[in-house]
Amino acid sequence: MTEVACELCPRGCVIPEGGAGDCRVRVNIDGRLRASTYGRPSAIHIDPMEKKPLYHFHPGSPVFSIATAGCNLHCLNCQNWQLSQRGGEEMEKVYRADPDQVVALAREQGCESIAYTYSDPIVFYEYVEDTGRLAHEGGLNNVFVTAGYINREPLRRLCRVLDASNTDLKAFDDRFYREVNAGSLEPVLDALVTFREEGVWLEVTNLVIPTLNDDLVMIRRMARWIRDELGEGTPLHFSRFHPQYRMRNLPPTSGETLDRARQEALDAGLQYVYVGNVLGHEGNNTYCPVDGTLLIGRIGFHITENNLTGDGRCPSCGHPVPGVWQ
Amino acid sequence: MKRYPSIHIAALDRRRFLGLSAAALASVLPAARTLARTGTPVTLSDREACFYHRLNAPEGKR
Repeated sequence: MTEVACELCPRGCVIPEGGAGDCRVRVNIDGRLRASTYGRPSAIHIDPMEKKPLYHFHPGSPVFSIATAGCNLHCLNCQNWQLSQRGGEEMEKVYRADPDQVVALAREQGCESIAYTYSDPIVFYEYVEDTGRLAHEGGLNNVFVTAGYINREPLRRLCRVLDASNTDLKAFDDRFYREVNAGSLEPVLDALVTFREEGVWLEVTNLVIPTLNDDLVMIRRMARWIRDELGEGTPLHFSRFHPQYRMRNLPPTSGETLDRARQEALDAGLQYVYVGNVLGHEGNNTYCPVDGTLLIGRIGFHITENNLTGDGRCPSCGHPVPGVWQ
Repeated sequence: MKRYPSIHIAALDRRRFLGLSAAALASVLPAARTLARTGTPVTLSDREACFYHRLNAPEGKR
């Protein structure tokens, strides 16, 4: 029996012959580790970029979005648990889509980008890299929606094919990560810094869960860390929690809590702080941090107006807004 | 390093999942019937090999 140690993520699973890692999809076959969902997505959709959410990256453009089964975290509040907390062989739907087919489909559907999303694409790493390389050759962008629980070396390699990421920072608290997500904080912070260092456009999402990670002191510490380590222009999305999966005992996040979190982050010096999952909230919009001009108006995932100049500046004062606009 | 039990191996023999055609599996494995419905032949190839892993054996015995 040959054991194999997976070195992709901080779990470092030691996997016996015939077994799978904690993610359920990386399996030991005859002493070789295999990505069992390679080319076998279980979710294929076309989404607006705002759904990722990415607000400063090709706004309003359609994104060809794929996911396979599996995840290396086990969040009690997962909203995609039917996909993420299963192995490929347990899925009701398994499509066959080789990397070249994914790219061809995306182009056929008029998408400028491919998103690796829904579950955590870290667990289908090789599929992302192969598809991403072909996507670049075909003039498409690659978007990586992740919780960032990955070792630094593999992430650096993957960054060569990535253009943008929305990365979850689930809380600025290691205990929260251990108890709610079955992970830990430090590797996620490392991943965020790596994205920034490697020049991948980065936005951060924090899902605010009542009583668990809505402490304003913690939110302030998180916002200051983002400001200092990632830059004041890094967009931060506070998302509203809805009871899901194994966390149905808590209520949805109140609008007041999200308002306070947003204000705390703005006070800490972040320039672009958003509120998600609340339709019509002013925190859906992008404002100029210098003169307050409405730059991009949104309702949900839809853009109602885009007043940015062609090169991504405020039309009133000319302030350059960080992002990838064209 | 923590060792994780192979919690799903009882649900399906992955060697078969990856190594045989879906049609061949359909008669014996419930999960594979789905694959058969999609008409997807499931085969193992080198491109599925994971980049980041190592044999878990003492130095010199790999």
